[in-house]
Amino acid sequence: MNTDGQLVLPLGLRPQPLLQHFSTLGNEEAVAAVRQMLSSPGPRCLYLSGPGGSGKSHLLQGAALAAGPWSPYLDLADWARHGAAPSVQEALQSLGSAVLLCLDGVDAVAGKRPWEELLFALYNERLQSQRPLLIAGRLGPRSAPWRLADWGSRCSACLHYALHLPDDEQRLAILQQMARQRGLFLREDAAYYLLRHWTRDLGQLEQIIEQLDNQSWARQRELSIPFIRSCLTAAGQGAHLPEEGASR
Amino acid sequence: MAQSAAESGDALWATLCTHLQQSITAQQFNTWLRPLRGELRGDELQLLAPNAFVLDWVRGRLLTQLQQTLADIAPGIILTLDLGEAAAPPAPPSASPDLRQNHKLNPTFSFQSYVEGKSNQLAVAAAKQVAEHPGRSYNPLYIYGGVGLGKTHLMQAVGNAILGHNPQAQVLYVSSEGFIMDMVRALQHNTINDFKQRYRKLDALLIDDIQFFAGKDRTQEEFFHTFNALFDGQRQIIITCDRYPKEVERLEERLQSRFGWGLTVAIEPHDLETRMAIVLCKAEESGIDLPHEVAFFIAEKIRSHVRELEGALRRVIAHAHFSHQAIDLSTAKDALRDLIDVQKRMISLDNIQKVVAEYFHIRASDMQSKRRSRNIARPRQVAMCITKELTNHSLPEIGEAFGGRDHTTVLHACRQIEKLRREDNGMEEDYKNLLRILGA
Repeated sequence: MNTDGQLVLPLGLRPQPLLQHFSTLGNEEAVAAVRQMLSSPGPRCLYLSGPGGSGKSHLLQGAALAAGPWSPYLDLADWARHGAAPSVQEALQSLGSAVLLCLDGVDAVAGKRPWEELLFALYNERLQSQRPLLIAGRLGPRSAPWRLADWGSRCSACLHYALHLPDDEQRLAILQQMARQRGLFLREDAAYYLLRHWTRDLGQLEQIIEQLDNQSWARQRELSIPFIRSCLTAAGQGAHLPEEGASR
Repeated sequence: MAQSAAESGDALWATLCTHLQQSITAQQFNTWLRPLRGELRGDELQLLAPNAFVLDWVRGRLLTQLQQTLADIAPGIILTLDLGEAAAPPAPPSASPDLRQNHKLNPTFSFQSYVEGKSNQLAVAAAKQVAEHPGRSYNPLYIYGGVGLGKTHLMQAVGNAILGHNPQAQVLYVSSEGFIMDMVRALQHNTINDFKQRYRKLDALLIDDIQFFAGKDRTQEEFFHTFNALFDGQRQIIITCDRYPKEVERLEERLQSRFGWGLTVAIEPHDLETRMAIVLCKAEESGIDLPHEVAFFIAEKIRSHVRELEGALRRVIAHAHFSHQAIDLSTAKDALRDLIDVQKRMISLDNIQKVVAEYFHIRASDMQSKRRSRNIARPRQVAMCITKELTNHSLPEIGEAFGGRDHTTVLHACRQIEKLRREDNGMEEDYKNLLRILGA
């Protein structure tokens, strides 16, 4: 990034999506179920659904980090974008040994039979080996347009929670917490300014905070409204924003 | 003392990791880089992946970044990526019953825990008969029916009962996928004869979801010989499938005909009483004394299959647990509010049109359009038929919602789709999928 001030070394705090950083308000039961999954005996399969920004990815990544090695977090939407489904055998040999398997964006592959067959095989393997499976998608297990009925029915056997989007008060608190985790102080008026004038999507806000963090270091300025405005305007209105609907 | 390649490689890899953690996400690091090991050989840092899956992922997505970071911290060292020895998988939790014994049967799947009703009584009777006289009563026993109706449970109940009568019996439960994987592994390791031996000396082979053999010619060939060997030796074969043998597409005719040699029994969707009994039984298995009114509520709301009943029951139990409340009708309604709301929302005229359009990859507006090409008209007819089945709208109302069509057009569409469902498996499957997606 081009900055006119001090050179920024890649040594800043990179906050991890830890479970304890997740704002549970309105989603207490879902979070409790995720925590219980990490202890034994917890639910074997948990399905979280909810719109972008409801915190699915945060919870899955937090659970993967808390479960220890080897607990892979895989985003199916990203995975499918990069190519065809791997062979079931290959995936089972590798992912079968995972302590916890976290599969995000499963509904992104709904209707794609090779992917659904892969998910079906992974589910069966997890169930048989009694290892937990945590899955998430924008659509719930009964709403996603699965083609493989065997997989769809297994989805609906999972303990399912629909995550609720945070209201603006909660977004404000989450935004300030994001800043705190980077060692930044974001005043309430500045946080409101970001929510009102830029975006309410927490995924996008997280990227803005990262951008402001770098700028704040480089220019040795606190996060005031004029400073935020100048940084984001200089970056080009909208140009700094990631694609619409990026997940938290 | 000089460091070994592994030790010095590990040290350099650890340094590289410290730098990489600044630029990649924690979950990427934990998932893909933590399992790698480093070995330094001269000016080459060789990273070893535990399996091909990790290897391919790292090669495809992270290799450039790894190479660039290494060039920054250790110029002149080349980075290569290879397959190493697989790390031993951690042991599964030991508290629950071990499903990984040789027979791979779930000990909780017994006849005692299987709820019998009108929908499955013939299948249960046949299964009990087979359990009493394996290899002699009905061979093969072919159980078919929709998803989540208890085929696997019934099949494994037979396996457990056979073992109960004769603990020395060689019983094996395997999913179709498991059979395919075993065979592929045997081919890879040149141990196909061991594979044949292992399967052909069984007293009972229980093979689940045979429909996944469709189109897999090599697997079908091998299974054909396994089938013949077991059948000729009067060993029991039990097969489950989601449809009647002759309806399994891309399955060799010789297999289809053999599957019909013994007894073919269907499991139909369960009626309300059976669903209620299943909910009570599942609750009891979880150590929960479920009030009958709650069981009735769940069984009445969830009409599709047992797995969905299980999902709903899990939600009720979890809700009561986390909110420290006793399970009663009010707790159950509260716990399943989302699910019931979704169901109500899904079964609206607008949503049926939207879901059907999405399913067949046409525009929602095509539902109302005047276009009559087959690829538009057929989904439109399906949507009309589903609307008639799932809603209380009158035929004129349905016709009106589909571009101001006459009620006789709706009637014709329904008759046409009903006919196609009887004649064409693909249509029947699409229709069932749509009902499932709509939560009906």
